[in-house]
Amino acid sequence: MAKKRYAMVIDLHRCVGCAACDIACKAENNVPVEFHWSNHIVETRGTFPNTTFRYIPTLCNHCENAPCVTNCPTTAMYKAENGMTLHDANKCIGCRLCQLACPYGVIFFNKDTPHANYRDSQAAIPGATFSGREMAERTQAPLPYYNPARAETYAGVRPRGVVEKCTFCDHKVAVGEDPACVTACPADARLFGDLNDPESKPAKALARHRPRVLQRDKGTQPHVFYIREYGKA
Amino acid sequence: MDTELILTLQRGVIWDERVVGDLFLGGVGVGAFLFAFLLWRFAEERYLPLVKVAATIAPVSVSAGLGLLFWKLGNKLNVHQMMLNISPTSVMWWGAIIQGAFVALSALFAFRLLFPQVSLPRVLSASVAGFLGVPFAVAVGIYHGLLLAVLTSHPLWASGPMIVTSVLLFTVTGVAASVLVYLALRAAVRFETGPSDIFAQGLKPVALVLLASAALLLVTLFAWWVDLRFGSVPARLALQAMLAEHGIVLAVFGIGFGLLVPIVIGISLLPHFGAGRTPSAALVGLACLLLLVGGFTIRYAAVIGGQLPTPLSVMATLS
Repeated sequence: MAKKRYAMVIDLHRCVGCAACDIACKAENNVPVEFHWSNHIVETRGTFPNTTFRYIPTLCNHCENAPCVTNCPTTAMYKAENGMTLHDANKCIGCRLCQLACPYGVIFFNKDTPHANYRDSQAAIPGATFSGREMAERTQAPLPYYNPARAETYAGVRPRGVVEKCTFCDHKVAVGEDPACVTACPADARLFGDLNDPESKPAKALARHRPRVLQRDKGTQPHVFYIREYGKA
Repeated sequence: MDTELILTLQRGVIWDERVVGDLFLGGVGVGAFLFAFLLWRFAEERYLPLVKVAATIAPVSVSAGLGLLFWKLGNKLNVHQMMLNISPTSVMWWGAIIQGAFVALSALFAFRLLFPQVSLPRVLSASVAGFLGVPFAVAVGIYHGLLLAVLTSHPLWASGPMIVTSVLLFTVTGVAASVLVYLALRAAVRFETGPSDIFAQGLKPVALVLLASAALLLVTLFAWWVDLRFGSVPARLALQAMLAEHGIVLAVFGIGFGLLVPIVIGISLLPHFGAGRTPSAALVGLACLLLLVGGFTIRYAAVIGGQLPTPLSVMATLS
């Protein structure tokens, strides 16, 4: 049986730009508010009435030829057998070479201890709301939305001094589920699966529509593909 | 209405002044070592004080640079992971190994020159350390250029002239630092070097090499500019952004005071090397100091300016 080669296809005709993927990713992976494993590019172009609006969801491209992996001096950033580009926080020295090597800006560095807002004693509205610290204390978790399942394959919350990035929710994929961004998408714009399986959703979508990738000229061979897009002004 | 693009990225410079310092000091160390080795092999005994100064600068400078890099690491306690995990595709991994070897060899070389009376096995002689150190020195010099040049997502770095610039920078700054420190020490401690005009005459080839390297550096910087200015769209945009942010500093301190002025001083001093005349130590020192300022400025503009964010129009390119 052929090795798995996981990939994601994003249908830009279906995407409604609601950013539910971004929120679901944060909740699933305990991502600090200022980081964006799941992100998006918004583009407005032209002059009324000839205007266009583009919304391109972005995430780690899990590149076949991943420059973050090639340049990592400790193999903390590595390619898994199933094609995912993963990160081992225990090996990371925080040199940030991966961040410099990645042309997509999808790797984030924990300069300080993450989730500072949940250690802050200052209430948003003094006398009326909880402070972040109170909320964390009452939920008895590092952060109120802490998901312990994340810690099964990656650091539950990545510590200060290391980088972090999207893992295609490898902890969910390991138990046969789709990544959180795929599950959360209300328009079924995201398709996830094994490209080596011709019956998988992404393989079928790519057979039917011309696949496009971000910054193809970089030669990274992304595993996140975009299909269909409305015309430009 | 113009096109408006929005993408929230992590803000701030990724590699800051500490990395600039590492690259600069690494270049100084490598250049100083090669200078010391060549003088020691081919120059007369009277140049030994200068050789000792240059040889001492080499390991100290590279170690200080590595110290700055270590300071920059986010997770310093994990640095041993570089030794536990082999990563042959990573230029930085190779850099750690060759710099480690270079520091050891250059330190041994300096120790043998400074303390020849200390008895050590023949295998630890200055000759062995020197000859073994040369290829490592060249490798460290190339590494400092290659470290940036392999990052193809940064057009300012991913170019041939970047590697050549790095090699020329270590030649210029290494020799300049050695001569400057030597002159400062000579002012404080009287070295026995014989008549000053004969001493200066012997250094004429060094002055010529320094001048030629500085001139070649100017040409390489021009080639770098041409490569980017007439290159791909991202390359043009990256150059534009770097010049907008650091152009004046690069032009004034990197090229003007850092290269052109020392070249003019050097040319004006050339007739004073030998023939019963001695070049002004103050002017030689000033030229060397300016070369160091220029070398640091060029590194600074390249490292910091090379990290200015990629235009979103490039990042949003779907094809």
